[in-house]
Amino acid sequence: MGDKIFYTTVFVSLLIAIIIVFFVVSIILYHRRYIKLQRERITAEITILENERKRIATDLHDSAGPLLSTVKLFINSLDVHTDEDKQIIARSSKYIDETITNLRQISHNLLPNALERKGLIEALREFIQQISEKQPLHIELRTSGDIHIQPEKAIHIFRIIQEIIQNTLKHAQAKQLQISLNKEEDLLLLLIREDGAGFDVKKAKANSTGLGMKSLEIRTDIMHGSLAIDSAPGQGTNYLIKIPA
Amino acid sequence: MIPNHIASFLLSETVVIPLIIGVVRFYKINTSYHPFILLLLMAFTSEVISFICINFLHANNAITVNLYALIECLILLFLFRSWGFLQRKQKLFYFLMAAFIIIWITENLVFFKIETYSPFFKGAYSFVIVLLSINEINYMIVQDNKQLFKNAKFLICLGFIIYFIYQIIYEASYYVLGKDNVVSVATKIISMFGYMNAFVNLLYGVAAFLIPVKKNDLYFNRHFE
Repeated sequence: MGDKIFYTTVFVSLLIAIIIVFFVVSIILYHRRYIKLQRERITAEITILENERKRIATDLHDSAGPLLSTVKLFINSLDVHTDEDKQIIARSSKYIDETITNLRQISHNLLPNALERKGLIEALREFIQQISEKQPLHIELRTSGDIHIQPEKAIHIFRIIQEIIQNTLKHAQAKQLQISLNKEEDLLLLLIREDGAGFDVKKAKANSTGLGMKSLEIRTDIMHGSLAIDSAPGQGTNYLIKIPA
Repeated sequence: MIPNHIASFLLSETVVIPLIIGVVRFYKINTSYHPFILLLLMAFTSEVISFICINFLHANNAITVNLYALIECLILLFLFRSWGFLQRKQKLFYFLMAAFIIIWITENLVFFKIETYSPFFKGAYSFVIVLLSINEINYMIVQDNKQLFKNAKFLICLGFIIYFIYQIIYEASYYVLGKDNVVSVATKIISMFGYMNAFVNLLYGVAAFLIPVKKNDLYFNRHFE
């Protein structure tokens, strides 16, 4: 009788233990599947966004630009006799030139031509040069070795760097920003260091209402990478992004 | 003072509450819940037959209980199939069906336990139903962002988990002690079964009230006659 009670108790306890383990394992599996679905959904949304940007950039660059040039050509070919008309034509030509320049700038901001034609490193150099011309921030880009990056990752890395530079300009009041892009074994390492005001990372993550920080996290996550931000008030900020090559 | 067997019968007959709600709403509710209403009807019928057997025919209700266990098990498998999980895992569905029928036949017919007491079949299917319910609940916790305590499927699965875990313990108590061995703990476990059953039936009542209507069919009927 004693043995029977003992073995039955052990057996029932085992069944209940299996039920509890099953509960935990099952919820973990469903959660993983949910995370995977979320990642796929975000990837799809960002891909749609980038494709839309690309389409708008191409339309602005290839359709609106040449059309405005043609308008300018027609206006300049008008035969006018009064000084007032000549002035109007000159002013119109100037406005059209400005519009064409602005359209090119918008198109470039949406998707840099160099990224598709010459690759990530050249696109970054171009972008850094543009920023350096307008802003008092000294940006240095270092790369080493043969870095081949797939185009679908290149756009995310470009956007991450773009976002960090914009954030630095907006909030950090930094004088210097260094970017290092290296390949180490199976990892692509992106290290960014700036000497700005710094911030409390935990606080910023908890209270941030902007999309900047989230955008960095999402794009890193899409590439199955990891993002570490090391910063403190008054001590600048270090960004370390590891991406599987 | 109500005699014990009458009190026990009245507690088990609380199944009539979800049954009435389910029957009234039968044609309105989502068809995937129809096996659940059928299960309630079977439970009610089984309880009535058991009561008649014991009180009027003065016979053992073991055959009714054992047959009901098989029917309950099969209806529950169909319920989980209509909810989608066993629909996606057809092989598992057929395997479970075959396995339970074989266990039932072996225990009840081969070893001729149909007129007595058969714990293995009940223990086995209770265990599987608890796992299937946990799986459904976890799926809802992770995927469904609606309020879970107003979700009929969640409440039904919660009821299944409570009822069938208790049934495992109940069967084990019976197995260890037998019907005639009056040992205080086991007796308490067995006598508590009626109250627990009544509680679960009330939970089913709330769930039957919350079962969603077949909205899509209503829209189609309204617009296409």
